[in-house]
Amino acid sequence: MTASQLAQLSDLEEQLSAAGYDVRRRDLAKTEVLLGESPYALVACFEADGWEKLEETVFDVQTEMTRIAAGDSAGRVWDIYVVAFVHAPAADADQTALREAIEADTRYARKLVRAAVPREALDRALRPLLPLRDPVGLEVADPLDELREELHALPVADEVADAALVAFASTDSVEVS
Amino acid sequence: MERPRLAEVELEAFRGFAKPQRLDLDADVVVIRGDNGTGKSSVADALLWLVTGTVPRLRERAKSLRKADDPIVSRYRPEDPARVRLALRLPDERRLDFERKGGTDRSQLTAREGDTLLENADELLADSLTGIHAHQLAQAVESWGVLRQDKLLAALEGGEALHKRLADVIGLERVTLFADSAKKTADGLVRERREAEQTLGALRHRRDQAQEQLTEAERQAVQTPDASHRLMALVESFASTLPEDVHLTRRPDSLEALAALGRDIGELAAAARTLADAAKEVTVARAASVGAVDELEEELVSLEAKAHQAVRRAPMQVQLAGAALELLGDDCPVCGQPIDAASVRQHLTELLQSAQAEAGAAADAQRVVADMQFRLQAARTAQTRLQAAHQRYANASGQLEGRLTSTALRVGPAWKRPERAEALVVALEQLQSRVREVHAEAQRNAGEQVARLSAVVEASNAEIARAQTAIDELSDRVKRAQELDRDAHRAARRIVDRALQRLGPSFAEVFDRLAPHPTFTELGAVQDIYYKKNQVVPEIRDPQRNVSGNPSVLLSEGHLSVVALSYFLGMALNAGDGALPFIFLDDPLQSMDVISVLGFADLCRRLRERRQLIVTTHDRRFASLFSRKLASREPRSRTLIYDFTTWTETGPEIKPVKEPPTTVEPLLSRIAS
Repeated sequence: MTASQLAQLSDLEEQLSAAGYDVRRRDLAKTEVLLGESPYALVACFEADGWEKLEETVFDVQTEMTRIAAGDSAGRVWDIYVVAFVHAPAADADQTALREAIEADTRYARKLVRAAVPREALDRALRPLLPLRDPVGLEVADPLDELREELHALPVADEVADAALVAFASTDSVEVS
Repeated sequence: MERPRLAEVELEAFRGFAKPQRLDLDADVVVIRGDNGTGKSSVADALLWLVTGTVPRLRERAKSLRKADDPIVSRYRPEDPARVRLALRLPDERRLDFERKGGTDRSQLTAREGDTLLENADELLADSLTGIHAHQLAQAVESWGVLRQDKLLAALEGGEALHKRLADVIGLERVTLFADSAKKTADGLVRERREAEQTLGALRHRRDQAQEQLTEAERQAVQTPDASHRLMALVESFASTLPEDVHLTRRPDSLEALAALGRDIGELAAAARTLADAAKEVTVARAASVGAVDELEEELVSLEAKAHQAVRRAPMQVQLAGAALELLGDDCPVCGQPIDAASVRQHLTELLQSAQAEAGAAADAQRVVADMQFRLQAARTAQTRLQAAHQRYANASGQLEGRLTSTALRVGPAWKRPERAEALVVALEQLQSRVREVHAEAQRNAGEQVARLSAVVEASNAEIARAQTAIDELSDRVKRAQELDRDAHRAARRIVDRALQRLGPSFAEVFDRLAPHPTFTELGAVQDIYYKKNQVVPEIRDPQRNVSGNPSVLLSEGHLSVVALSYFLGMALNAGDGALPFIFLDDPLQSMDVISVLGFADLCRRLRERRQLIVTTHDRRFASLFSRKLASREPRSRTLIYDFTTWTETGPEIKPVKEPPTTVEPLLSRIAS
């Protein structure tokens, strides 16, 4: 996967903005950070090319976010999320362990580490921060009509299927003559 | 407010709630914390009981107990009916109160608006909560309304149950019912055919029995004095008409014996016919004989000898006489002495004429021999034919004798002469005909029982034919019904498959938020047909290694809880018309790690926008986390937190926890500055 196919901060900005976040870019702890705020979340996203010093950067950004949130409203400290987008995938067990360790450290902020996220998978990568999607509308308008169409596409004779459906519609039981 | 909301619940004499206790629920999130046994699950039970009239797990437990052990009614107020009241606040701000009173076996739901008693409380409750009918409400509440802790993993256990829940979500009850009904019809027709085949077997058995009885009745009928007498008279009459020198060694005494005699005479007639044919052949062969072969052979030998002599001598004399005439001169060609040539020529000429006459006689002798040889050949052929005809006659005669000894009919020697063979055939055929007539007459005398049994046999045969036709028609119906059954399930499966494809992202929607497994990061569902039952089986996938499996056998209890919650909530969020305005999650966090709990808290922040959430937990840390994470962040939202601190015989001690700040200041501008 080429670098141009990976999600960039600008993609995140667009995604969070579409999800109702107020978004801005700022430098925090010597790192360019995309900040997003909604009534329920205060998000700091940053990019990293590799896994070196990732843990330190996450810690620094989280510390800065905690300092800012704690300075004003006690409730806001529970809304902090730090999201690290690493362009390189986790290449070995050490990097996988590092990712798990960062995410398992739940003190002060929820941390998410996303590695080599393609643009089309950005929605999934940010899902914990996004609103629920609209219901998919699974209901079948007329189940028996749909059933009739399916049965007509199958080997059973159409007249047998139709007669059974007609009987079922009026008696709730299938008849085969 | 766009949806109805559970505003208040009151419990009295219900389970562990002996004294009346009210719980304000009028919030978009309600968190109930309590140690085990403090009564928080009873709130879920109360809600289930009020809405559905039953608490399935308690009903199961009470099945084998005495009625006095009613699990719904408080043991500290056994004389009073359990009572649960639910106040519902409607989108138009009207408030309806629903109250159920009773116990496990009997209870009644009433509805009020203020002081006014409303009719048809069950339908009113269903209509107020959702767009479905009362009879569908219990299923909806259990499928995506209330997730009890004991039911959490059950969401994954029953593939058939999961299929049913899915079918409920997408409105496939009718399709499932159709498929089930098609199966019932097919099974019913198979049973019907089996019964028809048993009936046919019974009919055949009855017919065979009737046939046996008929045979016996025919036999007995001729043994009755009257019938026997008439049979004997008929037989005697028959015997008196037998030709001369033909007689019976024993009289047939039954219809069967009479029929057997008829068959014997028929066989005798056939044997006599063979004998008569052989006799004719002998006559013909004898007429074809042209003389004794041995005499002809002697005459031929003599003629051949004569012809041989004539043939051998005649040509030599003719040659010698001819050569001498050519050589004849005045002197002897041998000694050279003068000869009388004229005299010698005359002699030689006479000699030549004599030799030529003998050669003609030799040719005549050869013709006579050839003629004799032809006559001899003809005589030999005729002799062979005659011998063969004699042999056949002897065989036929032997067979006739053999048959005669095994029958009751005896024939005198005069009948056995070849020239009377044809007459014997005619006589036997006439006898057979007479026996038939006698048998038919005897049968007519056999009586009513025989007639009745004959009718039974005949009717049975007709009934068997009808039954067989019915079975053939039934088999065709079975074939059509089985095809319909098979294809109805396939059709239902295809419809569910399409729904699963659409629903898959909704499972993932929840699963992804609950911090999934490190490798099994994708959750879906696949359909499976097991023992002709459509089932939906959960499936987790590792997309990088292309590995998949059933979470029930792959994951830890904590991850299983995540999967179960994903299914329950995925379906709850897509329940369409059947959607309930609330979701009650009874201690859903058991066995979950802290990351999943955080993910769940974040998910609840989103869920509250869609449903009124009631969550219980026994874990103080999680309760504390929830009180902060689920605190209101917007002016119109409200979070209620209760602590069930302890339980006494009167019920739980319930303490409301002070709600954290309900608004937050936007910080982004400050960070920016």
